[in-house]
Amino acid sequence: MRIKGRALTKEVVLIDDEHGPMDLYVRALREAAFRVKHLDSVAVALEHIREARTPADLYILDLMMPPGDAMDLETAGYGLKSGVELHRCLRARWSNVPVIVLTSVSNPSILDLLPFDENTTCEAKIDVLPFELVEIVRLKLSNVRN
Amino acid sequence: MSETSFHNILLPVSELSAACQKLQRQCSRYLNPQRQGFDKKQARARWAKFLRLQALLDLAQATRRGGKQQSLRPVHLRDWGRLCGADAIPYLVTLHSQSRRNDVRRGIIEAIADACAAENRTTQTNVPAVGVFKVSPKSAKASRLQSGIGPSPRCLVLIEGLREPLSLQELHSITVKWVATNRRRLKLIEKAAKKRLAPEERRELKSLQRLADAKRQLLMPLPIKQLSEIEAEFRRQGLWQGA
Repeated sequence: MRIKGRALTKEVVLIDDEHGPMDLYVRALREAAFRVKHLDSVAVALEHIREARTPADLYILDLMMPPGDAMDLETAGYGLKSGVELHRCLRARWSNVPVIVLTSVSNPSILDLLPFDENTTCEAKIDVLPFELVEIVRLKLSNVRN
Repeated sequence: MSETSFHNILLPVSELSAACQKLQRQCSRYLNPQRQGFDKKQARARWAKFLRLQALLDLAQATRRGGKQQSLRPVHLRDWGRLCGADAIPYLVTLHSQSRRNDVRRGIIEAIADACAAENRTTQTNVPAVGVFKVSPKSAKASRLQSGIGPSPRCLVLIEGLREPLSLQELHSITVKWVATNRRRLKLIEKAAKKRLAPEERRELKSLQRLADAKRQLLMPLPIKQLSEIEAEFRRQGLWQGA
């Protein structure tokens, strides 16, 4: 599949239960020729992390998501830090995969739980317009390559 | 006025949802940097409004789901308060006003504390006593908030210490927006002193004076109950027949 004459090469997996803002992010990324997979629940994301043979080129992760039945309610902080747990699972499976934590959470007691490493960055949704996410993703991927 | 049940005064989710979809459509147009006349500042403002509305929608939906209601966690409410800003406070108060859980009340109070300037935190101590009443469509219209999305058209809040119920808009204007409300009131008083008030400004001033009274009652409620008891006692003893 080709869009605007460019081959779809890099795969971005977006893990977020919200659909409204995410649809705009997904569209912007697709228009920039990324292959985008939107996983809209913790259960689906955990399944992807467990089952996928190879990781995507980059993961975009929300922090506050309903844990559903896939995650222990206490572990997920009643949904406040499901993303923290998902990040831990991601790192356990693929230690170097680049991750952008894109969240509306501003509470430092939750953000401080993220074990930030050189391949993980955190962005506030309100500061990142859809076309700006594309730039952030490109930059992140180029940093990883280098 | 009759008191409504908690479930009858939930946010109009369908209305919020429609507004979110409309904003999303607008965003997809306005957020395109290739669009002619693209303005980044305007795009950012629209995006922020869209996210705020979306957060309110999430809050409303989470509250409706029941069962494991994450939105009832104090820290969660606090995050929503921070995210949605001061506009969300009347919604939070409305949604959770009749909860008997202390942690929910604390969550509301913390959210208010985060969103309000220190001098405007008068609702903190009064939140647990908020009641919800049916109101006329006219008052409901007046209670539309800045976001353009009003709460249920039937709700009005009564805060302990106030003699009459306020619309959510009025509650908002004497707490979060008190400085602006009072500035406008003083401006109209100055105009009134110079006898330059237009008829609609006179009506506005009357309404603002009523709000200023409500604000004073919030800050320092008059001991009406105690005075009534003293009056009743005096009447009983024949010491007072009324003025």
